[in-house]
Parts: sequence; C-alpha cells; structure tokens
Amino acid sequence: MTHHNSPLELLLVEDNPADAELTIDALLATGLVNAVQWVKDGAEALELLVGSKRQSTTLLNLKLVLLDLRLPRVDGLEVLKRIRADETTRLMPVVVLTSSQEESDLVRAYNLGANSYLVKPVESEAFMKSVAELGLYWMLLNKLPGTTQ
Amino acid sequence: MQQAERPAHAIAIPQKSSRPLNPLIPLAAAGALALVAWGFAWRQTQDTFNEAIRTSRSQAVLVSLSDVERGLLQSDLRAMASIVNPAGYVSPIPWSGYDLEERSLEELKSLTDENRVQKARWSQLRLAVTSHQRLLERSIQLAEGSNGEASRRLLTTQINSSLALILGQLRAMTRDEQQLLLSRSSHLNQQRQRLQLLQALSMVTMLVLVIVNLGLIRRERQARAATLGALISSEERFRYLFDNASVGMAMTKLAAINPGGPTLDDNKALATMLGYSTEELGEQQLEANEAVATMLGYSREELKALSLESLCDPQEPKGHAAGLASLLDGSKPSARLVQCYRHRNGQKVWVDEGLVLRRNSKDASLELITIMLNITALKTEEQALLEKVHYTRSLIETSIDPLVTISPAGTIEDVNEATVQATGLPRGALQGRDFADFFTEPERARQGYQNAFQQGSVRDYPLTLRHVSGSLMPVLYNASTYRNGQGEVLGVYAAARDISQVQQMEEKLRSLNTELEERVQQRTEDLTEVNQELEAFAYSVSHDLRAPLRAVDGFSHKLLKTYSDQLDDEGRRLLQVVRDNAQRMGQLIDDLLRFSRLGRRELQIEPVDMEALARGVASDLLASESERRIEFSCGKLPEAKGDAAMLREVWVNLIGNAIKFSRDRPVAHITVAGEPQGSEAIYSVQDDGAGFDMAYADKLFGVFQRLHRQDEFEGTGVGLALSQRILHRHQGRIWGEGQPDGGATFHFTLPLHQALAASPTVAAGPTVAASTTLATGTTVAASTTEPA
Repeated sequence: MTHHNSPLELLLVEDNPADAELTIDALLATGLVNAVQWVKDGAEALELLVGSKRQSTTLLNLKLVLLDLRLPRVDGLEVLKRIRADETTRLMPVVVLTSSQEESDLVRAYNLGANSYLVKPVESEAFMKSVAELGLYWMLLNKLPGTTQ
Repeated sequence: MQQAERPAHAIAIPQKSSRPLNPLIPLAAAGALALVAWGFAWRQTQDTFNEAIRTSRSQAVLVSLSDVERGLLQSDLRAMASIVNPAGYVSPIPWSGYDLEERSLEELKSLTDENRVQKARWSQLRLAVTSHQRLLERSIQLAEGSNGEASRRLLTTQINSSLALILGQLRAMTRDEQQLLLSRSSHLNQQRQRLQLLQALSMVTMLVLVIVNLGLIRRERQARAATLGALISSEERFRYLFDNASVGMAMTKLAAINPGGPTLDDNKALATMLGYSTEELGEQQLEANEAVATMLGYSREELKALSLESLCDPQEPKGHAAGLASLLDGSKPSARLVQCYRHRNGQKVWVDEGLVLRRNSKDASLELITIMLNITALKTEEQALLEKVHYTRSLIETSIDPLVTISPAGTIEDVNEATVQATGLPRGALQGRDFADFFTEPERARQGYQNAFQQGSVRDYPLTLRHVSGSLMPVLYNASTYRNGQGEVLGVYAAARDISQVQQMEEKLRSLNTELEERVQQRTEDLTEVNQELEAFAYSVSHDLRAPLRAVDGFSHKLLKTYSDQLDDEGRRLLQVVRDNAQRMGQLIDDLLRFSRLGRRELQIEPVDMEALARGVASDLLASESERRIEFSCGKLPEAKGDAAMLREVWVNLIGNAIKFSRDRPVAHITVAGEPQGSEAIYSVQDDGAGFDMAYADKLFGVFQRLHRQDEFEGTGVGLALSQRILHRHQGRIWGEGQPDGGATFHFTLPLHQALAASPTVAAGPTVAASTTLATGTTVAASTTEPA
C-alpha cells in the first residue's frame, strides 16, 4: 500500500499482509503519517533504499523504516546491515517490529545498529497502541541530523 | 660411778656381736680345777692317814709298854710268891715262866722297830729283863734248896735294883713314846685342819664353777631361744609369703630315697617305712597356695588330693619330667618351663613355671617347689599376635603384586610369592641380591629405591622387570621406607605392580577414547543441529504462530470497530469470544516460550537479598491491586545465592498466585517467611485464599496443569512449573500445602549463600542481558544511540 500523493515518510518492510494492514491502519489512525510505503520482502526494501530503484527524492522525507526480521529472500537483519553499510542510509532510523522475542535476535539487531526493537503484541489493542506511540515518537518527536533549523 | 649406774640387765643380755663362749671351756676348767683339788686332798688325806697310823702306833707302843710292865710285875709277883712259899704251898698265881713278858716284849719290838731311839732302848730293856729273869730263877732255886735266907737277900738286894732298872727303862721309853704321841697327835691335828681347809676351798671353787656354768647354760639357752624365735618368725614369714603370694607356689614331696632319683619304688619304700599306703602318702604330696587354687579352680584342700601332673592339659606337651630330670642330675639348680594346665571349667591355663628341688635335711626326702605364674593372658595375646603375624604374612604372600623389602645397602631382604613368580627365582636366590639386578635398567631401578630412601617414598616409578626366562614385565614401582618401633628407617618396602595388562588396557582405552571423542563430537554436532532445529522451532512458534493469532485478534477488532453498526449484540459477543481465545492462545505461547527459554539460559549466580526481592515483587504486584484489602507481611529472609532475575520470577509467581487466589477474601492475608535450615534456606509464601485439594498436589507443578477452572481463576498453568524449573536449576525444591478454601502455603528451598559456591552448575557463560521486561512482551526497548 503506497501513498503517492505525498513524499515517502515511512517504509514498512513486512511479509505478512495482515500485520502490514493492521500496522498501516494503526499508523494512519494517528493522523501523523501520510506517506507510507509497504514492501513485502527484504530484497524489495533494499532495492528501494540502497539499490537500483533508489531515487534522490525517495529518501528526502523518509523518517523511519519499520523492519520485520523474518522476511522472504533477504531477511530483516541483512537488510539492516546493508542500510547501515550504505553511506546515504547509515543514519536512517530503523525500528525492528517483529514477533520474535528471541534474545539472540535482539542482540543481533542492536549490534547491527537498530534504533529500537518492538515485539508485536498478539492483543490487537495493545498492538495498535504500540504502533501509534511508535509513529508519534519517530514521526513527530524524533530529530534527525540535517533537519534542525 | 658411771659404770655402777649401768643397768644390771645389760650384762645379762648376750651381745649379738660377740661370739658365744664355748661351754666346754669352763667345763674343762672346772674339771681341771677339781682334779687339782682332788690331788691336793688325796695327798693331804694320805699324809693324815700316815700320821694317824703313826699316832696309833705310838698309842700301841704305850699300851705295849704298859703290858710289858704289867707282865714283868706279874711274873715278879709270882716269883716272889714261890720264893716266899716254899714247896707245898699252892700259890693262887702259879708261876708259869715269862711267857707274858716275852709276848709283850716281842710286840713292843715289832712296834718300835721303826723308831731307832726306841729300838735301842728296847734292846737295853731286853738285856735288863733277861738279867732280871735270871736273878729271879736263881732266887727260886735258892728258895727250893731251902736256902731261904740267901734267896731273900738276893731278892731284896739284887732283884729289886734290877727291877728298878727295868722299870726305869720302861718309864723312859714310855716318856719318849708319850712325847712322840703328843707330837704326832698335834701333827695329825694340823693335818686334819689343813684337809678341812682344803675341802672348804674345794667346795667354794666347785660352787663358783657351778654358778659360772649355770650362767653359761642360761646364756646358751637364751641364745637358743633367740635362734628358735628367729626360726619361728622366719617360718611365719615364709608361710605368709607362701599363703599370700600372688604368684602360685606348690610343693610336691618326691620322697627320694634312691639318690639316683625318685621312683615309684621309692615312694612305696617310704610309705612302708612310715606306715602309710602309697595312696595315702600321695594324698599328702601336694601343698599349693591360694594363687594356685585360684589359677586352677580348685580349693587348696582339693589340690592336696591331686598332683600337678594330673592337672596338666593332656592335649599340650608336658615338660615336668624333663625339667625334673635336669634338676635331679644336678646340672642346674632350678628349671624353667611353660606348662599348660586345664582349669576346672575346662579352659586352658598357661603357666610359666620355675622348678626348684630341695632335699629335706630331716628325712632326706626330696621336695619339688614349683613357682607358677599364670601367663594365659600373655599366651592369648601372643597367640593373637602370632595369628596377626600369620595374617599379615598371608596378606603379603597372597598379594598379586611382587613385594620386596630392601636394605639400605640395596640388597633384597624379604620377598613374597609374587616376586618369586615374577622373577622365576627361588627365595634363596633372591635374598641378599642387589634389587636393581632384576630390572632392564639397573641404574634407574637403583635411583628408584634411593629416591625412596631420600624422600620417604616413590610413587608409580615405571620400570621393566626381567624374568629369569628373559621375558619382560612392565611394572610401576611404588616404595616407601619402613621403620622399627623407635622410628629408625630399616629399609624400603617396595611393590612392583605388573602393568602389562594396564598398558594394554590403556592402549585400548586410548583408542576407545579417540573413538568416543569422535562419537561425542558427532553427537554434539547432532545435538547442536537438534538444538538449532529446536530453536528454529521455538522461533517459528513465537514468530509464525503469533502472527496468525494477531491477525485473528486484530481483524476481529477491526471488524468490531468498522462494522459494529452492522452487527447485533450476539455477533459482537461471538467476535469477542474469538478475540479472547486468540489472546489466551497468545499468552499460552508466550508462557511456553518463556518456559523453554529458561532451560537454555545460563544462570547468573550472585548473592541475592531475598527479602528485598520479595518485598519489591510484592510491592509491584500489590500496586495494581489497590482496590483490594491485602495484609502483606514479610519476615526476615536469609540471603541466597542465585540468579536474581530468575528468583524474582519465583517470587512473582508465588506472591502473584497468593494475591490471585485470595481475591474472594474481604481481607486477604499473605505472609512471606524464611529461615536457614542446615545447609539450605527455606522460604514460604502463605495465603488464606481458595487453597487446593491435596489429592491433586502432584499436578501443581506440571506445565499447563491447573487445579481451578478458567472461569474461577484465569491462568495458563505455567507459573508453578516455571518456578519449579528455576528452583531445580538452583538445586532447590518446591512443594505446596493447602486445603480447599483453607488457603495454601508454598515452600521452597535454596542452598544458603555459602553453600552454593560449591555447586557445579555455577557457570560464567557469555553475558546475555536478562530483562524481566521481556516476559511481559509489551515493553519497547529503546535505543539510546544518537545519530551522528
């Protein structure tokens, strides 16, 4: 689900359509996010962020990448690693949004430079609330280098 | 003065130091004195007797003189008558010649024969008498011839003068003799007086001698009495010694008449001599003291009727005969032997005996004195010691290891059977040889026992022993010095253990080990694979199962929200049921994952302030129960050592349960307590809530096991299982007590702070951040890294 009427603000990398829909629902419900792009696997995400499909305008307004770990083709951690390796995207805020509570995933994610790690609650209200708070924080409150006046 | 004051009895007491005077000496002296006195007396008596004879002779001379005179006068008278009365006239006194005169004169002559003066006088008298007789005869003749006148004249003139001459002669003789008698009488008197004096002296001497002898006899008697007293007291002393000596003493009369030694015949002979039967004599033979009686269990009276010989244990050798023989041939003054007797109760009594033979000075009988010392205890000890020695030796001999003792010089002193087997040499050939010679490397072997001497012991020193056949045996040489009772090193005690089998085994073991290692590695790899699979499974459970649940819940929620106006109440309720179950399944999955993770996580062991932990947990949990009235109390809890995060889980589960199951009480009471008990600490959480039926107590700690219905008390049934797993990993235990509607108490133990340090499960693995927030699954962990 891509909203083209405004420059891309948030990239969602999620292979589960149900989760993606619920996440986008929650984000849009806050009214803070207008332009969300959803990609269904890691390869697609990488193409968009560091690969051939990257356009100079793509990353201009991008404030956050929501990254699932279990992804077809290229998994989330690999995506994170490549983002951090790329000079243009290395400071891009990346929040891991996953079902995994594995300690090893947590540690690896943080080691690769994840900005935050969020476990998706099963309970839908808690999930909505978490995603909404997340959007609020990263879209509105967080400051990025080069955006200060 | 001082001598006079000396007590009189001092003299009477015979001086012990002075030799008693031989009683023969005073007796001989007395005899000699008496002999001398008798000699003097005899001589005096002889003198007196002679003097008396001489006196009586003088008296006889005087009588004879008077007889002569009277006869002369008578014959004169007759002659006168014949003259006066001539023939015819018969005179009353007829003339009968001069017979009387002659006899008297002859008598006088014999009496005066010794006296020279009187003899001379007698001769003159003879002549005078003869001439006088002639005158008378002439006168008679004249008268008868009738010449009377002439005769008368003659008579008156001549005869008268002749007679006067004779008488004068007689008187002179008488006078002389009287004087002689006088002198002799006085001499005799003197002699008698001297004799009396001598007798008196003799008497006095005798008396003195008697007194002296009496004194001597008395002294002798006293001496004898003293000797006898000493003898009696000596006898008493020896009797006392005999009766009361703790050592046994027995005297056996052997009645030896034959100097060659006592025989049965001797006893018979003695019996006949004394008028006893041999049996009777035999009964009197043995006299034993109380110690012997006690030793053998018989009374002294009973022993008299027995002989030591008969009391000997028949099973043991008898040594009396040999001992006695050595005494009888005079080669030894005493004999020593060990004899075994049989106590009345049948037990053996070992006696160390000393035999002494004594010949009775009175009847030449022989008496055997036996000194008996009970050495049964010693003998028993000795026997035990011997058995011990035998036991020890048998241990040494049956040892599989070759054992040797080596002198400081390095020579073999003693070996066991295993050494004989190992070297193939007999004992004799081994003893005295250099120990090092039996090894392939003598220098190393020598170094081995020298090390033992220097350091006290040598352990597992590898050497190779050479059999006489040339075959080799790898051994481990173990040796240590051994000492005598005074602690002096006597030598080295060495054991050479055959390790050929061990070496084979080692080889086998090594290859087995290698094989095993390979297998283990293979298994580890397999296990790692399985673990990875399990992890992948857990991952997929957490990830893949939760996603659909979330979708179920999320879309139900969306449906409820977006299409709520198109749903009636029942529709909304049904959707809510779907949501509830999805959520519950999510909770179950979370708990299950938590439970499985617990087994894999490494413990972070540290001292844990259990009281602070329990109070903190209670405070957190009670904060969300502000609408309830709960009285919580926590006692002083001992400190434990463990993984604080995990132990917190335990408290969360137990206190959480207590809060949950007491929620129907208007005022709930929850009590936490703890105390050290032995090496453990026991903690407990008590509530007064719903409790449980002890019949189902075994289900308390099973995963997903619940004792209450979901609509009574919500829960997944994982909390207690989780707590038990945590405690088991801490070497602790947990158990619960309760009754329906009567509250429940859960106890758990943990090793005390100090005790846990030795636990083998303490691991210091890679640190993994343990966060209790993970368990809730709802907290976002935010990075603090700032963009550059």
